[in-house]
Amino acid sequence: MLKLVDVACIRGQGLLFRNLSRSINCGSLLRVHGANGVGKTSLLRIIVGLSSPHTGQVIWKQQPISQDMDYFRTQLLFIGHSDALKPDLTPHENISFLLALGKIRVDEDQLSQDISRWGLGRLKGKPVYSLSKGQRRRLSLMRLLYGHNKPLWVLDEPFIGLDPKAISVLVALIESHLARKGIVIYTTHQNVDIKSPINKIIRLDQI
Amino acid sequence: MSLTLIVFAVVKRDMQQAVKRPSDLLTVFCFFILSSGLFAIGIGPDPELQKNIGVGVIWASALLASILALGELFSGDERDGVLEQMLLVPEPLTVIMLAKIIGHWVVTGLPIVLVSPFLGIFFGFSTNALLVLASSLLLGTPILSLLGAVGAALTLGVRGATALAALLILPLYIPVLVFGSLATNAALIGTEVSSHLSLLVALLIFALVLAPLFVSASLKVALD
Repeated sequence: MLKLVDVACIRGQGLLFRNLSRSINCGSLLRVHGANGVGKTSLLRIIVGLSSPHTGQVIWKQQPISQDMDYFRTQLLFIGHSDALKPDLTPHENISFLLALGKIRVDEDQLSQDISRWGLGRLKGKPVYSLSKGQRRRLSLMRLLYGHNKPLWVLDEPFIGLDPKAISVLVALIESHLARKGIVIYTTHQNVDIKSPINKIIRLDQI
Repeated sequence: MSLTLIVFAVVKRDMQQAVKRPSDLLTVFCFFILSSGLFAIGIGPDPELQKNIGVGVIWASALLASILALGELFSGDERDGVLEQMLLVPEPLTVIMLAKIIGHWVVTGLPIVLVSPFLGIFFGFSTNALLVLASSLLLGTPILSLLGAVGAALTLGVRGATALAALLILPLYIPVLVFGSLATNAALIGTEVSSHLSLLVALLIFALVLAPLFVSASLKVALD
């Protein structure tokens, strides 16, 4: 479904990786592994189409993503390194804005209920700057709850700052996405056990 | 349909932010009033002189105030990672950026338009001239926001971005300054104003079409 063909990435002065080719089928979990600075985030940004690869192509459903970027983006949910939250707004305002950007419609009451179920109900009406780092990460990841019709999830360090309980909730979400034949690509430095029918790994420091 | 919803969401969020953090908005607004007021005080109590230079002072202050507002236009969203989410929306980025610029104008430009007649009174303008001043600013400040957004987008992530953006953009502001103050001056001496206002409308349409294109192109490069 997703294919990387001969991808190379140059950042600043140096070459980060090259000749990276992989094919990732529906229902696969792909972990991008490597030490700091080997280009994990750069690879994820190439996959989602934010950066263009120096050479090579990213192919989604037999078509290079650059050919029909708008279609590819309807298929994608990307949670980047930063949480994409505005510090002055409340959790509710932030999530409802991000969902509007993702063209996901959730009515206001449903959203309030989901925020409570997600364990952030106590923070209702508080500005995001008063939240802890872990709480912010959790809030940002809440978008995954509504991501069932986006087959490709790309998550940059999703587990960072999360407590064990939040990690297990997130793992369950990822597993259920894989069970409905979605693709999850993620990076992490933590050892988190995710059960997946197809488990793949890209070790960037060995390329 | 969904595009209108996104546009609405972007404008609404910028309003919410402005309400929660009024300092950004107030800085621009107070700068505009103070800088015009300081000129009036500095010139001294000569009503003729004040009337003669009032238009230029108000317009130049509006220009500088709009430069002051550029700093956070994209850099805040870039820092928080919201900008990359905007780039990933499966809709034309130009439209989303236009929404962002409109939101920016409503919180920074519109207050200037609304307060300008009071400053005009301060400089001793006639009622007709007050109306023309406000309408020329109503046409002119959106152009300032649109051109300013190009400067802010081009300098995103550069050190000393605001100063650099100001240097890039101020020359482009000159036509707006010229036609805006010509219109009000014409009203003060009682001649035809519509030609100057028409030229401002033309400039506005020109900027509305082109600025969002430049902004989205430079943001794509900045985030690559």
